[in-house]
Amino acid sequence: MSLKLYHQCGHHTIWNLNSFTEDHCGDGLIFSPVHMNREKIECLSPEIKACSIFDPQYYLPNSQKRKLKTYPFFPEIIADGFATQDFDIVALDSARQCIDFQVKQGFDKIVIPARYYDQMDPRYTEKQSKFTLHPFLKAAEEVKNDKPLIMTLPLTAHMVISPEYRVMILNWITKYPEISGVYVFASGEDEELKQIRSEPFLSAYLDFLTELRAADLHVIVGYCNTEGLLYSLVDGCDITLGTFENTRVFSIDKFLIHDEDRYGPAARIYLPGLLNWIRFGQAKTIKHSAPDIWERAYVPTPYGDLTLAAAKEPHFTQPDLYLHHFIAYASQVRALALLSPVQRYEKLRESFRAAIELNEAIENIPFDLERYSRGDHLQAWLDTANSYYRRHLKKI
Amino acid sequence: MPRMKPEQLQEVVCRLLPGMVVDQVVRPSGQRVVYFAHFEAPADKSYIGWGRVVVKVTEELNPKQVAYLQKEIEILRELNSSYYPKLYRDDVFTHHPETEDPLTHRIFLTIEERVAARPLSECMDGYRTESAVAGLLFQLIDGLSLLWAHKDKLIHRDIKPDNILIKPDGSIVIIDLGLLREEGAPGLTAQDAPWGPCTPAYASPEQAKNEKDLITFKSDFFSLGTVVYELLTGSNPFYTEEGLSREEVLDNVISLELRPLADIGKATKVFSDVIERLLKKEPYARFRTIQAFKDALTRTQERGDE
Repeated sequence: MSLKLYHQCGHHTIWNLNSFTEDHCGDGLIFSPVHMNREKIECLSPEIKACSIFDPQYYLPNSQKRKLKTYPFFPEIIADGFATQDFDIVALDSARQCIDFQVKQGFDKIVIPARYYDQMDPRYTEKQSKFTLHPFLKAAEEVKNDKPLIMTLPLTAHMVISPEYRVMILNWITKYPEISGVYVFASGEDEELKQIRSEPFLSAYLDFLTELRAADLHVIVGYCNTEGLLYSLVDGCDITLGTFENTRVFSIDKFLIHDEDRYGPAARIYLPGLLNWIRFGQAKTIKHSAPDIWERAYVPTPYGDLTLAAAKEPHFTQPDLYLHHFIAYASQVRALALLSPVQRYEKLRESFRAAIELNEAIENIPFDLERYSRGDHLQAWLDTANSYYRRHLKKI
Repeated sequence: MPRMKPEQLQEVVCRLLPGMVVDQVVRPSGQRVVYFAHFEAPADKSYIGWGRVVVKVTEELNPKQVAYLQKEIEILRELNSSYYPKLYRDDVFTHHPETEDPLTHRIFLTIEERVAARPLSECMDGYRTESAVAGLLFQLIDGLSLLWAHKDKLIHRDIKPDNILIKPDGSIVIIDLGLLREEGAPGLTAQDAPWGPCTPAYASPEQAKNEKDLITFKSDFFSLGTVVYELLTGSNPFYTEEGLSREEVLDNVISLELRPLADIGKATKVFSDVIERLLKKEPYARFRTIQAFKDALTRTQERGDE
């Protein structure tokens, strides 16, 4: 009944580090070289690195991001200008250096990077094998280190929804007994809506995670937003939490030079009872006009209380609302971690239904939440959980 | 050009290996001719110590077969394990021993230990119980692990009762590495061929569909599952009726869902589950590692002891 929670690090990793060390939120961190240069990684404490992983982020191998370029094994650097057709020559060297870095830094696992494809390329597995998997397996064999090897699986929602594509990926990744786990995420579903609300996608993703676990693979689901709670239905999956939206939804944009647009300009506060991020101004209105509803929606944390009490509305780049989110979300995950999958389903079902009721109560105040703060995703989550229970958990 | 007639070939082989006495012609013709033999007063005295041997003769047909044969020779030399027959000698002959004329087809020749054993196909009745089958499986896992865990990630690809020899003490010898394949290697059969090299009734679905990229040690897992299913039920699960064609058997391998052994009263639930997992149509659903398979099998025995 393991359910670990990792910080998906991004801009201001210091907030994640503080949350982890001071507020004891999460079980480890996933470090992001596009946001943290090599020197800073090297300066992290061994204790933190021992329970964390380093994502080498070869998603866009010719990325020009400054911090990525501080890592000599990054494809753009080691190849002195990345070109797919020439990378073969240096792929093994890149793998050796990347593994050596992860081992020397003392990370918990060795992460094999992968390239991001936004289309359903029929040669996905062949290309990933050639680009990183085979060179990394060869390099890992040379090192003879006993750290677990985990493969990055960057997918899109279309890939996940296609049963044939899922089988192709599953057959590919389980071919390699040396691989003991996967670091998987899927982009592109309801990207504009902030919360995933596609039941077909969520059900397909849960099925995929279930198959990965059935193959005895350790699974870390990266780039989770609040729907990460749903992934806890799959016993043994670890999930993530993050600050800005680009750590809660994967987008290749952050490996391009300018990704600042993806922050989302409005300050929002996470309300666990609503299972959503609510625009801060609207949250305050509910707090004052319907305290009984507020009490059911909000879980007090020192950071949340402080921000709500301040005279001035917070800016979205200030840490307090994120630190509040970490505490509130980690507490929800911790509560689930203690339960069996069936109990988790019961608990989630209860939470989703309560959140739907709470949204109705807000409407009845009357008060209309703006489109991203509304609970439009909740019915899809409830349907997904029920469907998963019927297909995988219910005793016949 | 036609190959030599069987009697002509045997005569040439005996001349190539002075002192060789053929005890039995096991396979007189075809791609590979097999003799049981021994040596009397051979020119090379070391032959005497070999005792009874198996002589395999292949007349060169095409580069694919040469490649298979060379792989088999290389691996047998390297393995040096009681799970496989010892390879005493291998040679290629290009000229007739007497006339010294070039041979129309080169002769590839191997001399292997003749194991005093019977093929499993002839003694299946000794393996009709779950515990006997489990014991056999443990040995097969250990023996085949030498291939699966080999640096070249080898796959046997032709696991079947004929290729498993049972010695009088119950220990096994695995023979016929003629279809050995390195995982990930390009392979020797055409990519667009309808099926890959195999014995249809014991093939895995990926072999049946010639999905080369998916052929791994887990393909051998499937074949082991088929062998076990046959041992416990008394008949091959995919050769469902007499006279089925190769294509029909392979269709069954690909699509026929087998009833779990426990449901037909042939095994306990826990053992049946292990075999069911070996026989999953998609490789990802089978055991992901050799150790996971072994551990699951061990658990079936521990529960049985309780």
